[in-house]
Amino acid sequence: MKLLSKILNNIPNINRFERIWKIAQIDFKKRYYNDRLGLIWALLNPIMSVSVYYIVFTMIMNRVSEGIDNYALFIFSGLIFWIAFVEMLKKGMKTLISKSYLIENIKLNKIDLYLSICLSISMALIFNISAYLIMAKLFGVNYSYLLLYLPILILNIFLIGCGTSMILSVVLIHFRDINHIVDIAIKLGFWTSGIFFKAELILDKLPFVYYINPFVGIIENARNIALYNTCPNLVTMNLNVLIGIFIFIIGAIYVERFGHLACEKL
Amino acid sequence: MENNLAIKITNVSKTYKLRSTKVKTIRERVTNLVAGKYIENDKIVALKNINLYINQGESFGIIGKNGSGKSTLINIIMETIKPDIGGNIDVYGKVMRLALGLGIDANLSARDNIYVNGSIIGLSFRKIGTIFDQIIEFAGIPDFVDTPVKFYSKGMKQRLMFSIAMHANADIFLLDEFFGGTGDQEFRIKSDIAFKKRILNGKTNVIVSHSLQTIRKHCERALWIHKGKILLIDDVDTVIKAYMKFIKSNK
Repeated sequence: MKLLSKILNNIPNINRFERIWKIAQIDFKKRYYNDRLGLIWALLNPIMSVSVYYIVFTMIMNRVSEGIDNYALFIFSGLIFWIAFVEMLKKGMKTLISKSYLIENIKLNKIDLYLSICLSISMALIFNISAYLIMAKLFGVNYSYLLLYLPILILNIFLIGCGTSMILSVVLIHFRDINHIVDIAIKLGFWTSGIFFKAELILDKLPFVYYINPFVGIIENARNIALYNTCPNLVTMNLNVLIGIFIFIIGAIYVERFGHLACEKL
Repeated sequence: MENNLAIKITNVSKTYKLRSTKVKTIRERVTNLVAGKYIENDKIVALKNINLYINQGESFGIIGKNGSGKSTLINIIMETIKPDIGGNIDVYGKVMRLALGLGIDANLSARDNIYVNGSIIGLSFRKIGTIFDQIIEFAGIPDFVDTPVKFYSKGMKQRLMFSIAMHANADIFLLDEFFGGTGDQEFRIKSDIAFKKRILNGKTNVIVSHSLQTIRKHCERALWIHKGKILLIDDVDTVIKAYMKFIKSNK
């Protein structure tokens, strides 16, 4: 009987979805509405980065951009996915601290908080993708029904981002130093995910990156869909979703088991 | 008997591990790590072998000196802290902890705070929608519904928190030095009435307070905790008498 009620309690009910959605909404609002320009920053930020990289890689280090049409769009399409992931990681990692006002006073499922935060960042990602699609149209890029694959990529980023942030936020409780390591790892990922160059460039020399870093595949697929209008590589897509699910489950287990330590140590 | 329980705590102990203060520099840390030397953490025993049951609808007081483990006990009931292995806690119902100023995010508006808090306690958005106006009206802040809470005066913040708690409909309240009668005179009278009606009557309360008067006034049974150990669980008057005697003899 007890087991049955436990199972029933864990079935996500409407109340739970409502809650996750609400916290995500609030998070989104908090991030953008306090600034003058509001949501435009979500877009302005990648656009400014793109222009910096564009100038550097077409004028100074122009060997990198050789042979790539629409180089600005090329960077943009990769960068928005990467930025979304990094934001999930950085914000998610601090969930147990930033939401401690809730954790300490009401009994709640901590995983909901991570889901909300990553959901709010996914909303910004969707916003950026639509901005990209409008710009791509202006540049004369064609896309088709293949866009229907995009939600899978977003889900994939969500799973990986949410999972890693859950794992890292627990690790953060024990080792504050993890912050520095994460910074380096983000840099490493940034330069090996093929945001500025065709993935083949790095895969020729370090083929194992393809299997270690799921972003190579995700960004490649994003470009296949939204820039080249070709069918994405379904093998890597499935593989990456599986990796995402795996990381997510590990993270969820981690938070369930060790999340309570946060209130003791922070 | 089983069915009437609200909280049941068996055999709960809690030991905090502190980061050792013996190692201070990074160099020491690294050399210790390389040498494989394990540094024993400092330990603090906050609770020792607590056994306790609280009935439904009961008001239960907890008294003790500072640092005697009262807050740890509250945290254990909240399940924000897990007890050492072997301890068991059963809590039947939704728990909300009331302590002034907590549970509210200062950057959010009153509206958002109400929805988040209400939702976590288990109310659907439709239900919250129906009691939303009541909450705002009770708190007396109808003009500031969408203002971030950080711009509120201290009194307004307290009234909002109080009002959410009044309407949230949790089954078990943990009152951590929190009591009705905040704000100005008008609100004080209003809140006292609501507090008695909605929280003290019919709900399970665990009251932690340094004020022995409040404990005596509101509780039927009480617990005296000292250095992590339960010294006495009995009806209020007996416990307070024993506690007073102890305090006097210590002087």
